[in-house]
Amino acid sequence: MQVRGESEIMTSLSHQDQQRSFSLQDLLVTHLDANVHAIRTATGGSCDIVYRDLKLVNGIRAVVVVTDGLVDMQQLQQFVIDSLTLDHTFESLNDLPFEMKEMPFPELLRQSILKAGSVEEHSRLDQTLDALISGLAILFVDGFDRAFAIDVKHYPDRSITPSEAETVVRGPRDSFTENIRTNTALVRRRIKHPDLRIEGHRAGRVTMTNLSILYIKGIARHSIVDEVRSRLRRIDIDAVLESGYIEAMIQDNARSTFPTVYHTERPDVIAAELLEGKIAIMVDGTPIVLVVPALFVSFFHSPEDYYQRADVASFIRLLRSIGVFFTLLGPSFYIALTTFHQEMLPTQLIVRLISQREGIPFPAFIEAMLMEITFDILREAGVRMPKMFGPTVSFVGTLIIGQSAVEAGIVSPAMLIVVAFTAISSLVIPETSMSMSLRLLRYPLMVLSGTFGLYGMMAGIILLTLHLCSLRSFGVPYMSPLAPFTEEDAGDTLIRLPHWAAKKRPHQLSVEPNTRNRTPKPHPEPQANPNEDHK
Amino acid sequence: MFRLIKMALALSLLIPLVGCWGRLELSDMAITMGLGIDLADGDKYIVSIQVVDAGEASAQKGSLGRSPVVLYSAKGKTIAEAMQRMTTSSPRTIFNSHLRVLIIGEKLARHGISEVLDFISRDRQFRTDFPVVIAKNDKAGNALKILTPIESIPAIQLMRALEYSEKHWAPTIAIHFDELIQGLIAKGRQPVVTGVVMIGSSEEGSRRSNLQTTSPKNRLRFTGLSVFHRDRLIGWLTEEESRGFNIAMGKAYKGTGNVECSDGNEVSLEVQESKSKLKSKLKGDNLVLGLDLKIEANVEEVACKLPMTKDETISDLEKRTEDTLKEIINKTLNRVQHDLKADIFGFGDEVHRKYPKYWKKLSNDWDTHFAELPPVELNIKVKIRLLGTVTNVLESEGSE
Repeated sequence: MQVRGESEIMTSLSHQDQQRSFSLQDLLVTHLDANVHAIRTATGGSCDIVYRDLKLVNGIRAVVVVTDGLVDMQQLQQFVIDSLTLDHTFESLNDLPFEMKEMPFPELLRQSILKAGSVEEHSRLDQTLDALISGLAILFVDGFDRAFAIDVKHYPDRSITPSEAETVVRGPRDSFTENIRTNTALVRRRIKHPDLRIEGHRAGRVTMTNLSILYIKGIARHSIVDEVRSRLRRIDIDAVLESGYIEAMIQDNARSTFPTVYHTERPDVIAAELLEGKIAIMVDGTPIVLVVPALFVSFFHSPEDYYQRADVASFIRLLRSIGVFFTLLGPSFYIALTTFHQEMLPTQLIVRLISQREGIPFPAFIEAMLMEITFDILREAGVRMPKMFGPTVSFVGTLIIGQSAVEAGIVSPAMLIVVAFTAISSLVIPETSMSMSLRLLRYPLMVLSGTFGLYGMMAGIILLTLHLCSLRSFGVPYMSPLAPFTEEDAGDTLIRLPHWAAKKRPHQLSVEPNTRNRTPKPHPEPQANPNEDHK
Repeated sequence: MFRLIKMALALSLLIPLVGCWGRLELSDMAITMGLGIDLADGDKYIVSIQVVDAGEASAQKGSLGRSPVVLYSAKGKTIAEAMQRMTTSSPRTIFNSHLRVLIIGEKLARHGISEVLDFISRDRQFRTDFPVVIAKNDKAGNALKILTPIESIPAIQLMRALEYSEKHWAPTIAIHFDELIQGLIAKGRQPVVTGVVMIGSSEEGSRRSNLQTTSPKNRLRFTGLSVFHRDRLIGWLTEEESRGFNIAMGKAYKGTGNVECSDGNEVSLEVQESKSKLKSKLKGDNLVLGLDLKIEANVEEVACKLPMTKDETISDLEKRTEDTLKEIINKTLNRVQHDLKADIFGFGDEVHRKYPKYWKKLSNDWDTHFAELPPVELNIKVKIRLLGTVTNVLESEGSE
């Protein structure tokens, strides 16, 4: 085993890794010290790698290597070290039945002495290292060219908390955590069917991040699952720190501002999406889970839509679509009407607007740009600032920028109303990446309507529509089921049909037969046998 | 790269499609609310526009004491020229799309208004939904000067008052610009236009002090209709005659009229529904004109001491109403047919529709023919529906 210095390993990590992988693919040897040394060298003597020498009951030397912080020390003590060293083990060794005494010692160790839930054997250095830094305890036994990887993992983790970004009034409160196993468990708990498949993948040459692909066999289309696999396999990057990295590399159209990958931190949303035939991608270390294929309409759906009564949900969806239009077009429409199409405003309104604009030094377009940018800065500040600055920022934001700007005659009150209403409207879009995308597109539309009026605005809308219709997400048209229109699937788009009426899963996403619901339509029935109770 | 160029080319096609590029900031506009056109000496036009001083008209924190509107006037050989000349006194671009009322001076109306109508319908800014009125015995510019209470912008006040009285006062009717144009083009019908008269003086009416009393002395009031022949004003109908015209045309919805009942007292009726139909019949070579009118009315006020619950009273009342209406309408018809010789009802159109071949012979001088025709046959049906919340007159009920 070649001995290398720490710096050498660091450089080899950042370079094309050939030297490193070459040496790491070495097999373990029978000599205990050599194995331990190899580990020590490979980790560069990192201080969180802990080595514990043991002398086993039959006199054989052994070393347990763990990554401090990733293992449960109590479990390690109880199920590994105690089992290997305590006296009663020695006694029981003597009392063993003959056939067990005849077993090779390593086999005996694995099967009968180590009391942890999962024990694996590795013969190669890289596998061993991998297990070590994933939080497994590594046991080297002298004279044995294998390492035992014992599962006593205990990640630093937080408990399951209510979702902060996607809140509902009615519906489950739990959200994903940074731990991928907790996350898969949250989904498993909702879908108790063996056909829920969770495939493990890895991405990131340095971070070696765990990924999981979740889908339901028999609902999700094979072609789409294969596509997801192949796109994930294509990823060759050193680090995956958040699912956003994956999203950027597997999305369909890199130039579009529209997201073609859906993301959520709610397990109930993931369960619902899987049941429609979509595929979820979990990334270890982040609570944000990706869902593909993503359809345009699903960005405007909140999980609560499905928990509320269908009529209420449909009404709220209509409100939301008004909000969407206002987010995108509010300021542009105002600019177009007030600078190009004054004849379209009611007379009383235009007199009022003119009187408000008396003495405003900027054209409406500049005024709108100014206020929109101010609002976006305020909003960003609100997200980014430490919590104790909150009151200051909201005071400055609302009072100084709002009221004082109007009183000083720099912006007109009407413009402030438009900007404020646009700001509020942008918050009704349940999914942040879509709302960001629309906020971004608002600016070019404002420029268009500031130069060409409603004509420019309409041209912008037409271009946007064309673009949206050309998008695909994992082969599925982005605007479906609206364009191409599928009548059976349209019941869950701008409105939502009641659950008893939604008989089929989305055509574009799921395999046939796709009937999901055979419940008859409920109707009032008389009490079956009213006299029975009186007996 | 090629794709990008193609896209840029495709997008650049959008630019030549743009129509008029009229970018105008709100704070650079002067909104015309009222337009008045008069004839000056030497075939010149005097155009007056009533422009809103928006800061004053919708002042929220107390007004500065300025007038809510400003009147600009300019002379010109054509109206367009006068409008252009206006820019020498107006600090802002004059914007005509929100015009609320067009006033034409009587002198100009008698001279002919086709040029005015041509200018307004040719200009892209003007809509066609504003009412047109004639300043009776006066100049349009004077009528636009008067400040009004309640609605601070006089043009809006004028339009509102006209629309309101059209609904509730049978003699007035609002003629909008497009209707006037249609009347002018139609060969079988002559246009009518509402008249407005000034009460008091326009000089005093233009001051704010005019509004400081509960009953402003200087104001505008609508009066009877003016009758046009082609584009020229040829005469005025009295209020009574205007009422007859409106009733005959079925436009008397919500209008009130009085009828004398058998004991000599009056009953007021409010029209709830009225349908009128013009008739024409060719008997040999003789044209006979007719008018069917069906009216449903409610009792508004009763002064006569008759049992209103009895069928006979009601049918007697209906009969009397029919007679009264017949008298009113006949008076109007007589005036229009024989005195003014202008078919403002549109009998000509009716003949045109029914006897297109026969019409060809008449169409060139229909109005002369119209004057020579026998009187129009009236066929009026009145139905009284509701008596209101009480039945008999209170006095007689108490005595029972």
